[in-house]
Amino acid sequence: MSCPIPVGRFSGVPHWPVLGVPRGHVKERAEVTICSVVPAGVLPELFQAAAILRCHDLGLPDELGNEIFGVMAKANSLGDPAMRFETRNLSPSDLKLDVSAIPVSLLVSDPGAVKAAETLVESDDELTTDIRAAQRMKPLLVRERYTAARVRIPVQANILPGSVPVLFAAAQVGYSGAEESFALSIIGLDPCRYYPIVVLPHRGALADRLRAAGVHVEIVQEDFAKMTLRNIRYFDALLEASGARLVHTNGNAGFPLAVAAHYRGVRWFTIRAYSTGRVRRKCWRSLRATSRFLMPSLRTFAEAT
Amino acid sequence: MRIYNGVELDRFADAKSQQPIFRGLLGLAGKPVISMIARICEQKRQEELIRALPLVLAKHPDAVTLIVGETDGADMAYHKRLLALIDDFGVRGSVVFHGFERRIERIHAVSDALVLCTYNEPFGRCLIEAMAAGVPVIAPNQGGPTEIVTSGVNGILYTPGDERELANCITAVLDDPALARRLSCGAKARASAFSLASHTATLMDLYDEVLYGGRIEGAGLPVCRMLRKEGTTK
Repeated sequence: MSCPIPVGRFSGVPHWPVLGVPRGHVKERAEVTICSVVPAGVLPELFQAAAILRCHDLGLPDELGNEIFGVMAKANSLGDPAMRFETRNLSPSDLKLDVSAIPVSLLVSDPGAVKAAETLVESDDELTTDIRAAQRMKPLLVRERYTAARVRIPVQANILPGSVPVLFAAAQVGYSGAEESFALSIIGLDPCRYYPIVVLPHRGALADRLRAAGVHVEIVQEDFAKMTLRNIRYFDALLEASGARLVHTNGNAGFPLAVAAHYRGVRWFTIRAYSTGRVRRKCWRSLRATSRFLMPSLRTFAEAT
Repeated sequence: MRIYNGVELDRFADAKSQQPIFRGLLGLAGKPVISMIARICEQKRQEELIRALPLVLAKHPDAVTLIVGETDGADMAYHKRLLALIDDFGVRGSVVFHGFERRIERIHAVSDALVLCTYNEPFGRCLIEAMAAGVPVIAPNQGGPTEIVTSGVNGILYTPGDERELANCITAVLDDPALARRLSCGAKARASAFSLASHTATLMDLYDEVLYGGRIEGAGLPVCRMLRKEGTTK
């Protein structure tokens, strides 16, 4: 029995806008698998696909649904060899990878992916995949969720003597006026006084802009704006590794980083929306309490696991 | 203390000198061009400009409106609503969705007026960029634009939600070249206060103060200093 997921493969022409990964990016060439109905976050590794995109990710309306395959057929009929689509249905045999063989960190990095993978496995009774493997994985998943992402940071060879490392973080990786302002603030810093290290959740136009200007950019590959223990621990490790003495965040990236920064006594700035005004004192009290009581517990937990 | 965003003013200073080239490229030669630069989403309120267009087109039937910006997947429904609105108002022939434009100075080069309709815009970076290029700007009398624009001197502020007033502001700029020139000169002068060099110098001074200057005044909090988005707090 076929798994009810029609897919199309597209091997792209130059400048085909493979947006979404990341948005606003233009790749020279890409191979993607386009699924109209797959839940968000299904892991490409499951099908050994370079990337799995939904219509939505291609900037097409969701309600296009399976009509995307009509569009692909139409494109094929034009006979342009640079734009050939291949359409077919996924079957259980297309599952290239046993779920239990997927690196746990991949699943944990995106809770949506966990859910989607589990949904996929459970969606077909005749699916030959052993679901018990996923169940056995659960303790690992739990532990992984509390383990901070690996901090790859710095070899600080590029920091000029006397220059102060400043950690910048932004949760948004697209590019609009706010990101342009953020990027220019960083690029314009005098390297003799301040050395910027920028942490971003994913690659994208903002990362490209900063790297092109020679700024040190770290890509975490996960959403670090959420107030989770994993994120707090990640930032704690990052602050230690980078030796940052100031933290400057753009918008929502702030809270887990603020907790870690407060615990380490690193001063913290954030850029907030005009209309939201200043952070309420209550919020700061909770931040201080969190950093004071939570961080030692987290450290203990880390040592125990 | 306030720290406004910095803009690379040099990038926009000579935009207008390129006008004939880019107007020719875009097929806009001889037409009045109104532009709006913003991500296409409900918050940016492109619909307000579209609602004002019939009144503008009544006086300037050859005017073209460039809507510049990308549509996020989540905002596709809003984009469709705009298209429906354009059809309802019968202005399809005069509105162009330009999409995302990295070299935004090209848009300023061809524009006779830049309109911003966002409510509670934190700052309005596109206003400064347009002003640096000498493009008269029209923005709502609310939020960040009120700190940038002095109405009648270096731009025009209109009452948010009042499409008739917005249309009047646009036609005033298109009708009166002397007014447009005056606003353009005022805009360039005002934009010079938002240079990137002065922004980063002030930011680094603030960093110095935080690192070496002890406790910060104002917030009463030992480790935080709030910077208002694209502006700052008091």
